[in-house]
Amino acid sequence: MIGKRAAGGRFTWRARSGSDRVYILCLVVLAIVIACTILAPLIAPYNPNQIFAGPIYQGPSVQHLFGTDGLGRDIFSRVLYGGRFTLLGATLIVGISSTAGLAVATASAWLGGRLDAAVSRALDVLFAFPGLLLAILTVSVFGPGFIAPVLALAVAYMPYMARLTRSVAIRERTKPYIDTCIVQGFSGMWICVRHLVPNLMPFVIVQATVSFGYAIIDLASLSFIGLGIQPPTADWGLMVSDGETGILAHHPEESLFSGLMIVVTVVAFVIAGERRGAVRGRYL
Amino acid sequence: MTEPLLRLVDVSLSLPTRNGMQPILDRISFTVHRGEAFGLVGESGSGKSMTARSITRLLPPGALLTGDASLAGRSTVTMSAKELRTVRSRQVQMIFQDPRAHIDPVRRMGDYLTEALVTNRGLARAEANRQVVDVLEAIGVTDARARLSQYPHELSGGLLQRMMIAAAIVAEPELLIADEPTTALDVTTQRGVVALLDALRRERGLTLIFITHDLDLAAAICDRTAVMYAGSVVEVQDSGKLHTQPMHPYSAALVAARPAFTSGLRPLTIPGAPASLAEAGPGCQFMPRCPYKVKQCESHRPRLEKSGQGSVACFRSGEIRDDLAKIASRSSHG
Amino acid sequence: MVRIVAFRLVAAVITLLVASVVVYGAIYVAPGSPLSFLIGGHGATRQVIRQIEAEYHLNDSFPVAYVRWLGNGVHGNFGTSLVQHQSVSSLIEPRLTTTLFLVAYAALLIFVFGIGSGLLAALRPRRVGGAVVLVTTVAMAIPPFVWAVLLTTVFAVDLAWFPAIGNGSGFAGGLYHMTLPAVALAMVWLAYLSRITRAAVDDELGKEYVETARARGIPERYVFRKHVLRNAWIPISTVAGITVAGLIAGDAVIEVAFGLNGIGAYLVQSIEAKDFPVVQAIMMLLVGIFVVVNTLVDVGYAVADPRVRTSERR
Repeated sequence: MIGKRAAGGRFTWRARSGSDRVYILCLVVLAIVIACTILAPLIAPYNPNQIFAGPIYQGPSVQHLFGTDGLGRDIFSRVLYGGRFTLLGATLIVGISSTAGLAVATASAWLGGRLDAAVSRALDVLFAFPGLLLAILTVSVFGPGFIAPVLALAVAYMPYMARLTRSVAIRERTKPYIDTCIVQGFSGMWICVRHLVPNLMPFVIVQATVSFGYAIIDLASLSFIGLGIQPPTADWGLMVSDGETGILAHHPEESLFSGLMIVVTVVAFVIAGERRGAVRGRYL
Repeated sequence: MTEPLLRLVDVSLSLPTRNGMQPILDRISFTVHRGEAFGLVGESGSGKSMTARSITRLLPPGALLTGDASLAGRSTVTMSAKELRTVRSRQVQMIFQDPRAHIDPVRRMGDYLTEALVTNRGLARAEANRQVVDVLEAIGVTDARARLSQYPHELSGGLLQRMMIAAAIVAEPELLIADEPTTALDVTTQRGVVALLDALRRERGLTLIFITHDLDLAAAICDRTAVMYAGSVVEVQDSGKLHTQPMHPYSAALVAARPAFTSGLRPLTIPGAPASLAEAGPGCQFMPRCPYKVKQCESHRPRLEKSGQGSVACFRSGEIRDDLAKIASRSSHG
Repeated sequence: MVRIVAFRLVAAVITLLVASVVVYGAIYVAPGSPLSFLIGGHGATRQVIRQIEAEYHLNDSFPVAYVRWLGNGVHGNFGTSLVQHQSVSSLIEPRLTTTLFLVAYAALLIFVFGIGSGLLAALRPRRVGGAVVLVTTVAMAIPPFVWAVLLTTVFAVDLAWFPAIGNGSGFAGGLYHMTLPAVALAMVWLAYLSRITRAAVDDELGKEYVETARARGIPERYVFRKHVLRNAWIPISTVAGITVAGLIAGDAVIEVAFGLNGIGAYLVQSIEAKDFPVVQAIMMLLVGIFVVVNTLVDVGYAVADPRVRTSERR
């Protein structure tokens, strides 16, 4: 009688279960980041735009938690304020694109037929534009700033939400509970709003959360190349760029801390979005 | 008597799971003779599929297999991977439950059918095609040549199953293991496939192991049947005798549970739910649901022992024999 | 099959046309008249005005003007730069080489290390797999420009292994200067491709038809090549398409970050200098590349997966 191990190569993908702790952690991190951004005026030890609040290019110290930049401004204060436009922008982008995408997709899925086909084609075309490029084009026309890039990115993100919700809506539309409503004589609009949309919300939320992360990246990238938020406003993306001279002078604090904020926030959003999707059994 | 083709002696299997190693099979023992049709019957989770896979060690990584399984005298448990591959390509062939899942969807049927011949035996593609077409025609597939260039998604489930059988046959195996080959098919197609397997066995002298949860199906095609419950073989008998004189309470209940048109009696259900080997204690796995249990059944697990022409794993088999026969006759088909 | 290809080509052409309308029409959407917008901050000499009017056919109606502009573009005439007073194409050409070099370098890194690490993770799940997943999750969330800064800080400044800015000359010089930028550009996509590869291969390894092949005694190497990889390639190649989008978008950012003289950086410079003809040309170029690659990926997908071919026949 001999024991023998069988051959093969197979991995049991287990990481997605359990680890609700990670999900909670992400939510906590996000709460902290958002709170800091909103409460910046109360928490920040210095005026973010005050130059020579300390000697230039100081490393982290008790007076200046994150050090100072090339103009002597306190980096910690700037980091606290720096998330405002980014987070606000991302909120607007996700809010607008999700609402528009959801509306278009639901209407399209509900009405079906030629309209649906046309909408699909239109979405396909929209997909052709990488969000950042569209934002850059918009900036080239309207100038750098806040509103133009945000709107451009909202337009670019819309098809992602639309495509997702449309496929789910089409699936849901054939379900019996919808038929029941139709038979009872409720109007299409009412059914969509009261029944279809609530069932789509879980997917919408997951996609929106993940998109939030990418919106932050796109906005920050835009500011980094100088086409977004303009100096001297404190903004994470802009600070990463401004800090480049500091890096060459062996003082990377400005870029690194602002970059760190971006990464932490984005990671938290993306993981939270993925976990939520997985936890609910729907991985997008 | 000539040596049996397949002999399993105390084959036990554990598989790695989230909670560590779980026992799946406990001391499986039976023999299958050349040219015989052997049925392996049991509910889902009874371990019948795993038993079949253990024969050629088609197991997930980390599986622990003990005991002895020998094919024509050579142990498959201890042989090297290379020897195993030879066994798998020449001596034993398996057909599976869901043909659509078991055939690569991105390749043509011709590729699938000739893959083994070309890779393992180095046949030229043209020659392999010829042999495959011969077999397809022999089993009644129309337009055999044309089928070779079709994709799986273009064919029906029944046809796919036949082609899976063809692929197995063309390798000219000594032993064919059919793992629930009809479960995914509708009733009419089922009969066709079963008839095909039966005909093939007779014509080509194949040995067949037929795995199913359907007792009647097993009886239709198999000479002998083994009944499995929660990882153990509880009874092995002539298929006919199994239905009239079962030796194990579980087999009797299984036989009685089939509703029959003529008897007019309500089907007898077995109280409780099927257990798994992992959840069972040291005693008999069927004990919690068995109406004949005694003290000994809780602490000791009965071994499969010879009884007349078959074998049974039950301490009280002899005493309750008549009772069981009565239970079995409750659903006589007449 | 032919129908699929034709369909995709038509879709691609339509997309490009729409994009061109948007890019061209932008000057009309801009605040002020198209003319004043184009003049921007440049001196409004008679010569400049006449040049602009000629190139943009501003005296014609929109559709006519658009078609003529498009016609010019198709022939490679992208107009004249308002800043350099040279033909736009002559300004773009040299810079295009830099960008293509960078993108090709990055793409190479992505495919070799992305697919490589993904395969490794799928085949050695216990030792490598978990680590790869963790690393890729974090790597994916770090935007390319932050990667640029990180890599510069560590490798260019602290360790001084690589230069921080500049193109470098010649092939070897280029390779040396472009390594950090290429890595920064590639990182996010490398991580993403790694995850997709791992998931796809892992998924395939568990498929029943792989089991069938093994059950028939077919050698593992063959099974892996013909069944696992062949099927896993499908989702992996889809990612390839998305990767191109990301590379194009990220390229501009990386070029700015590393002071490279490619068309991405030129695009940003032109925007700041209000040199719109250049902006339009580069935009069309980028969108064009993007659409072409996506179309190729779509067609490739149909070739690889026969099930797609039949389902497309609606």
